[in-house]
Amino acid sequence: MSRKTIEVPILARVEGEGALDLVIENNQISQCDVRIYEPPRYFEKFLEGRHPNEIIDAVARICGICPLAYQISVMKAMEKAFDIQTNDWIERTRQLMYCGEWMESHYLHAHMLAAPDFLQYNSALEMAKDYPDEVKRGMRVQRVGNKILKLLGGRSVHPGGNKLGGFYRAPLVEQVKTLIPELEQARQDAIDTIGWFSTFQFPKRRDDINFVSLSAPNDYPMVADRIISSSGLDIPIQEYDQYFSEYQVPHSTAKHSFLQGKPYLLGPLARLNLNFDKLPKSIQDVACKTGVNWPSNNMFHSILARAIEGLWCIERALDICRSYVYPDRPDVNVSVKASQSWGASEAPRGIQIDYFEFDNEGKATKINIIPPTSQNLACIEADLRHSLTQLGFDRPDDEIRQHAEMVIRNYDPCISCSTHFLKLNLERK
Amino acid sequence: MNILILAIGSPHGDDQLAWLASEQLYCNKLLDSTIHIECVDRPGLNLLYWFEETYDAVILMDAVLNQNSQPGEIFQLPPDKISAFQGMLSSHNLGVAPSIALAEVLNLLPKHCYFFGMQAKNTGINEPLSSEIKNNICRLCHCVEQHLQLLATYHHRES
Repeated sequence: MSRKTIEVPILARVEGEGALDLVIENNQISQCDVRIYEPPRYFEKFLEGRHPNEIIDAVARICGICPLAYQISVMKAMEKAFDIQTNDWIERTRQLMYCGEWMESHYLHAHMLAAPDFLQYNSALEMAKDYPDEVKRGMRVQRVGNKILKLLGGRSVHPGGNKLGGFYRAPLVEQVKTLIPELEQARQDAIDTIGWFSTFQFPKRRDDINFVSLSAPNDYPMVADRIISSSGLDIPIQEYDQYFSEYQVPHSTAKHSFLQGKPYLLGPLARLNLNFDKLPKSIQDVACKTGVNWPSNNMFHSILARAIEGLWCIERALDICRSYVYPDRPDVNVSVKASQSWGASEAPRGIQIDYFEFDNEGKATKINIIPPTSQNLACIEADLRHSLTQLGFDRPDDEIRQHAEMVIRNYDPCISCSTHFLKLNLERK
Repeated sequence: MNILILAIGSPHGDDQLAWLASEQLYCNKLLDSTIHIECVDRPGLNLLYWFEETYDAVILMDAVLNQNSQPGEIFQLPPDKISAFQGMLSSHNLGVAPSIALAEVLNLLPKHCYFFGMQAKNTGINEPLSSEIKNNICRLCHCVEQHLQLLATYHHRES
C-alpha cells in the first residue's frame, strides 16, 4: 500500500492565507482539504446594533480587493428593507463605481496572479521580464479602475462615499469627463489583453460544473434580484436559503456552501456562461474570436472570461461617464423601519449575498454576510480531486503542487473575504 | 529637481512611523516647494503609479522587520538593495520590495530612488507606537534631510 502526502504550506499569489492538505493512497486522493486557518472575523456579530451608514462603512473593511461588493449588497438589502427608491443617477453612478472595482480586481488577478501559471513562470516578476508591455498594459487598466473608485469613494481601497440612499457627494462633470480618454485607451488595452490571453495553452478538459450567477432582466448582471444556475435554478434572492446551505468543515474556519447538496461555481466563468446573450453583440464577437465555444465547461477559461468581463466594464463605464450630469442632490430622502431583507451583487469573484433584520431604529438585529470565496471552496476541493487525478499521481511532488496551486488560483479566491487563505501538504500512502 | 517623499504605513503600532516622520519633516520646514510629501496606506502595487509621476527622485520611508535588528535601527537602501531586502513588512504578497522589483523590471523607477526604513517593534493591530520608535523618529528625519541635501548638491553640480 502506498501513501503520499504533499504539503502546500502557503499558497502564493492568492489574496490572503491558507493551505492545502493532500493525501494520495493507492493512486487515489483520500484527503483533499483546502485549509483556511485564519481566525474568523465575526463581522456579522459586531455589526449588530449598528446603524445603516456605520454598517455600510464597516463592511468595506471585509476586503481590500472587493470592498464595494459588500457595500453594494448591504445597501441593496437596506434600501429594500426600508422601501427606499433610489433614482437612475444613483444606480448608474454606483454601477460606474462597481465597474472600477471589477477592473481593478480582474486585471490585477489576471496579470499578476493567474497569467504566470499559463506561461510557466513562478511569479509575475519573472513574467514581467519577458512580457513588460503586457504587464504594463494590465496595470494601466487596473489603474483606471482605481481612479474611478477614488473619484467616487475618496480612496481606491475601502472607499467611503456610499451611504444609505445614495452618495455623500457627487463628483463634478469635469472630474468624470477626465476619465473618458483613459477609458478609451483602456478599451483598446482590454481588447489586446483578450487577444493575448487567447494565445495561452489551456489544459483540455470538460468539467461537470454547476454554474451559478445573478440574473438581471436585460443586462449583464452586476446587481440583480434573481439567482440562476446551469442546472435550471431560477429563484428570487430571498429564496436563497431554501436552496443553498452553508456548512462548517473541521479543516477550515471558512464555511463551505452547497446548492441542493452539491458544490457550485461562482465568478466570471459562471457569469459569462449564464449571461453570454446579455453582452453587447460587439463584445460577444470579441469573445468568439478567442476560439472558445462559449459557454465553456473548462475552468481554465476563467482568465479569458475575466478579460471579457473587463471589456464589458470599460464600455459600461465609458457610457456612464459620457452621459454623466451633475445631480440636484447625490442621494434621496431615507427613513427606516423594522424590517428584514436580502441583498445581492456580483463581486468580481462571484455572488456576494446578505440577509439583514432591522429594528424600528434601523439598527441591525440579525446579519448573515455570505462571501463568494466561501461559496466556491467546496467547488475548489472537487476541482482539485478531478484535476489532480487527470494530471496523474506519478508526477513529481513539485509538479502536483504547482498544478494544485494553478487550479486554486483560477478561482481568484479572496481568503481575506472568506476569512483569509494557501499552504500544500501532500501525503502519499 | 522634483522630489517625492512617500511615507508608507498603516495606523497600527510602529507601522505608522513613516507617517509620523513625514509630519516631522514637514514641521522642520527644511523642505522647499520642489519637495512633495505623500502618506500612503499599504499601497501594494499602487506604489508603481507613484513612480510613473514625473518626479526626478523618490524617497520611500517605511517600517521594516529585519531579523537580528534592534527596534529603532535605521536602514538606508538604494533600489537594487530594496528588492533583495527581506525585512519588508507587507500586506499579502505584494509589498514594497516586490513592487520595487517589478518597477525595476518594467523600467519604471525614477532616476533616483532611495529607501529609508526603521526596525519596528509593535506590529500588531491597534498596538501603540513603541517608545523605541518614538525616540528615533527625529534621527530618521535627520537621515532623510541629509540625503535631500546630498541630492540638492548633486543636482546643483549636474546643472
